[in-house]
Amino acid sequence: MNEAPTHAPSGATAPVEAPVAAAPGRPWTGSRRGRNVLSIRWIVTAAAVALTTGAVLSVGVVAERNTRRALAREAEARLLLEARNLALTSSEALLNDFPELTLHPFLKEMKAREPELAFALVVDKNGVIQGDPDARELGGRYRPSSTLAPVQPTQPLGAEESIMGNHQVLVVTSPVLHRNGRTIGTAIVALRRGHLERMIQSARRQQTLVLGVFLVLGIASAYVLMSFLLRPIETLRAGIERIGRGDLDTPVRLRDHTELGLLAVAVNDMAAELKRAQSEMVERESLAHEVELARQIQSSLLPSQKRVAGDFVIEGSQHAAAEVGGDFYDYFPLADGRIGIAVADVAGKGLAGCMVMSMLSALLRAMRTSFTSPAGLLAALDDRLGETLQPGSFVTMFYGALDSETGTLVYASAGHSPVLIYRGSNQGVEWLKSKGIPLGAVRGGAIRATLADSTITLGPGDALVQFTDGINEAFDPTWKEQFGFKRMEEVVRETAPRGAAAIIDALHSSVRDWTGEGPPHDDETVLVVSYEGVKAEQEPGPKATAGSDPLARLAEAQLIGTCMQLRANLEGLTGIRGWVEACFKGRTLGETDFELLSTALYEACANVVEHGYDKDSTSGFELWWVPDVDLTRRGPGRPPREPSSARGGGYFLIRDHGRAFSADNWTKTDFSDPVVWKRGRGFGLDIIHRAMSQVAYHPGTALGNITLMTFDPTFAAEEGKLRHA
Amino acid sequence: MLLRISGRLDAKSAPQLLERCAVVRTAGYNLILNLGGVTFVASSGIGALLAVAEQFREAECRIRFASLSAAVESVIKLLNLDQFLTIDPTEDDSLTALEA
Repeated sequence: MNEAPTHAPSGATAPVEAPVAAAPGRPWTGSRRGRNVLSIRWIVTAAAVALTTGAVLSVGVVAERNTRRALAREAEARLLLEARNLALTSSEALLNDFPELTLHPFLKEMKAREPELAFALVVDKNGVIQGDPDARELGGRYRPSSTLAPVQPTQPLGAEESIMGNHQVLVVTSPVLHRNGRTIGTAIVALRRGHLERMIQSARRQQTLVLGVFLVLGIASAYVLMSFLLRPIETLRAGIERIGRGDLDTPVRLRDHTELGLLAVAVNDMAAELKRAQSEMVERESLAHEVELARQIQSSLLPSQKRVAGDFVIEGSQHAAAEVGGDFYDYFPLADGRIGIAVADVAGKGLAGCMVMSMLSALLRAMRTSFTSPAGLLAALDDRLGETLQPGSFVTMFYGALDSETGTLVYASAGHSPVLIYRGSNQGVEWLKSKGIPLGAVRGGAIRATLADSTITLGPGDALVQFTDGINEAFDPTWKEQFGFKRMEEVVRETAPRGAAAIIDALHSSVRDWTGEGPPHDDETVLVVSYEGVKAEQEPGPKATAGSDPLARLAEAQLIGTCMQLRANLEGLTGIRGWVEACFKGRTLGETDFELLSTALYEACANVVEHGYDKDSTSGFELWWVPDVDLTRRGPGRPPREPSSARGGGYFLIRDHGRAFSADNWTKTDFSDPVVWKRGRGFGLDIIHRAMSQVAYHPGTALGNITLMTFDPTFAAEEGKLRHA
Repeated sequence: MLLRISGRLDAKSAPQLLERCAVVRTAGYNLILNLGGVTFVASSGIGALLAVAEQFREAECRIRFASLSAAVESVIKLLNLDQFLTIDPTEDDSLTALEA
């Protein structure tokens, strides 16, 4: 296409009048100004002139030759006749004594009558001139010019007749015959060639005149005709220039019955097509723009980053299909502290699917607080969606609520893909199939009967993978085989130990490898709930670990725990022992365990005093004890239940506002190493980690630095062997 | 009325199916849809089947789905919709059922 900005919509068109096309490779400058244009008029006129001249001249040449020949023939014939005539007339005169008396006046008259004759005379048999228009020649000898040469006769010659000629004259002789047949003399008649030439000249002049007239006529009519024919070109050019400026509405008006008329029609058709194509393109662009907006809106409905709840990481990811689509996922905190998790897939793609998704997202947002049962929520969604969904449209959906403390997930599925559960303990994989029908599939609330809440528990090393069928139904480039559940299992088995992000990346890239180049055919959505709790050095206790959401634990402690206020000095820490005793009154706690616990708590608080507050006694901090209640149902706001058994476990919480210090990178001290013994101090952390099954330090929360320590008596007992004596 | 469907049932062909069934429905006939020849069904295809079922229910005409191909059957089962569509193993079973 041409690159001139002024002529953007139109193609490059060479002006018809310019015989010079744009040089290849150089952009068309599009303007006729400054070009030397050779008008067609002149070309055609010149052609007409050349043709006419050529025709007329060639005709003239041929005609002249014929004329010349004809004239020559005529001249010879005439001369011959005259000569014979003269010969006859002279016959009697020559027999007389004084022939000149008869011949002279005769010849004189002849010459006078025909001045074009060069000469005419009669000679006797001796060559003496007996007859001549000029009397002085009489009696003289006839001396023909030496340049005379015989001429090819065009007339039949009689005996002793001759035709001779040179440049100037044509001479014919004829014998004068006696009655008895003897030649008694010769009659000689000569014609000036000049005469002939003059006749030919006159003919030629005539011809030139004709030529001239024709030429003028030709030029004039050519010029006029061309002007007439070319006027429409001006109109066309103006019209095309108009189109070039962007005016596609005004047609080129040309009432012309030649090819130019057809050209005008073609140009108008082209303009109409251009206009249509232009408006189509504008429409398509604006539609593409709308689709892009829809896509942006859709992706804004998805969570932007992973969510950490307790020891669980919930993360989702979507690779969108080329066409804006209908996959959805979300995770969000619920009022009761659980995390709601949703994955959904709309039947059908495109903007329609996108809009259904937005509806679903909004409904979910509005309704999620009102339903503790996932089945109930899905049924309610079906109800609402059913009001607005087109017949034949439906949504498969998985919804669950995760209690990050206990690892319990209560869920229901409306016809959605089965859930993949990976068990870290045996690297095994389970599939949990859905029993519900999709939302909106069957109207009238029939879905209720098919939905039911199910419960599973996730523990350390476990992962839950939910997805949409863009993953398992992804086809290979030959469209023969789907990625399938088996391959998903393999990928998950391999990557689950590395956490949610690893599973997600691995699934996406395996599917990408499977399908080959190009954007996905369908939205590929993956959501993973993975146990990635605090990576403590010790094995977590057999019981479910205290969920380490520090603020939740603090709130819980404030609700059901026992508190000891402390000042930031080491002296005040001596009261810890007594406090622990009080906390464990009525519970079974071995003496050595008790000692260990007190020491550990002392060390933990000492750390705060020394490192966090620099022993500034004006500041204070809190030490909390939360006893072990029913661990499977715990959450702030919920009333504590009766302890299922007096196991004696629970957790301690320290909340301070001092400077945060680093408690990381602690490694177990090797007590068998004598060097360690020599150090004599710095075993504080050791003790803490041996007494407590779990230690988590959460510096800088909204409510201060929070240290969580889970106390599990059975754990402490095992570690007892290594206690510093 | 018996309609035998074959080929791909996707976003392009779904509307055609809906139209054909609508004709049957407005004429007041019952319908047997033989899906034995359906080689592939997309979600819009399933949607069409659901829509047709719903429309026939509202119009109080009967519709039965016969001889589901493997493709159709697997998707229907996956979505747990086998309870909600009246499905017969063969055409003849549908005919018998309708005549009853």
